Amino acid sequence: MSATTVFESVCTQLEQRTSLDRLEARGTVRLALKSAGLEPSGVTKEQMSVVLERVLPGELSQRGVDEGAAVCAAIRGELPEDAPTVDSPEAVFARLGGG
Amino acid sequence: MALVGSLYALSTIAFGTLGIAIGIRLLALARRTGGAPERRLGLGIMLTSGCGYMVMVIAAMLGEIAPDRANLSYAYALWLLGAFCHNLGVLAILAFILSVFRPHETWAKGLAGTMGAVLWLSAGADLLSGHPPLNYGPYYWWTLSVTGTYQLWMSAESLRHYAQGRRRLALGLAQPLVVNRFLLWGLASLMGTAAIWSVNVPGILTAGEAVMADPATQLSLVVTAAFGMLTVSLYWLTFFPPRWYRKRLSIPDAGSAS
Repeated sequence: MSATTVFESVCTQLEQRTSLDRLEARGTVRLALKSAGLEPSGVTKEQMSVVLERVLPGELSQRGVDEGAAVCAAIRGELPEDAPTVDSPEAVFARLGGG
Repeated sequence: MALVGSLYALSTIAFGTLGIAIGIRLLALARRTGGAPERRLGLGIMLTSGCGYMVMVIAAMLGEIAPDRANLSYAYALWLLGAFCHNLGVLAILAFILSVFRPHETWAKGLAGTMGAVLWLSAGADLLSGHPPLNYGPYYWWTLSVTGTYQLWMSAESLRHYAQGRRRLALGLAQPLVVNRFLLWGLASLMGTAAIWSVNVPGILTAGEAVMADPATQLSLVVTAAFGMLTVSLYWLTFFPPRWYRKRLSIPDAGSAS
């Protein structure tokens, strides 16, 4: 498993729960992540949870998806656990100041 | 000329000494955490700024002060040692950039590999060319194409993460001090690049025939010293943020830069 599992899981569920097709679902999630300063390849479960709560509902609303907040809340409850990943730049830079 | 030379020497010693101190600190941190990135960065900073650049400048100044044959030989040997350490340090920093910022990108591995190869091949070619000691060799500009740009890559990656970090901060997904560290390190890398290019401007303008007493050379040393002190100050804030600085970043306010 890689860190993309969180991203892929959210995209798949979004496609299943809304009228968005695969490309639209992936693009919407990518945009939401980008506006939150996150990248699909490195997003964690905790980070995605915050995006689902505070960013993605707005993106879905702009795309005419009804009850986006409810959809996101449902997806939040089914996020997979993080897989072991390499040190993120943030984790490394957090240590550089003395650990 | 003596004043400018002294200013440049002092700023170089400060830059090199702090580089060694930071490198040792990061290596000690790596021993505690087992983290390869801090080990690579620690080696990189220690070798480029302390064991490398500072030693090379000292060697060049020794050659300038006492240019008789015997002293030039010692100075050149010292310069070669400094150059070797510096170029090793560049490889360590390229490894840091790859492993932290671009662990999966093939293009990044290709770029780092190319830069490393150009750096070492050009340095080796210069060594074998038999050019006068402590003068620009025929392949020096190839070496400069790497030593004058690798920190730009570091800066771009750090500043990109600073921009992302600011957005994460708004969602409570980042620590202000860490986001600020990306900014400081990005700026420090920019200042380091500026210092490398400013000290080389006289050589660029004179096709490698710059003379220490020339006003242009003197001016470049002053500018380089300024960039060097800026770099050292940013290094200090990056790796040794004082309590007041940490406190200032931890308390969110509308005017905070992070």
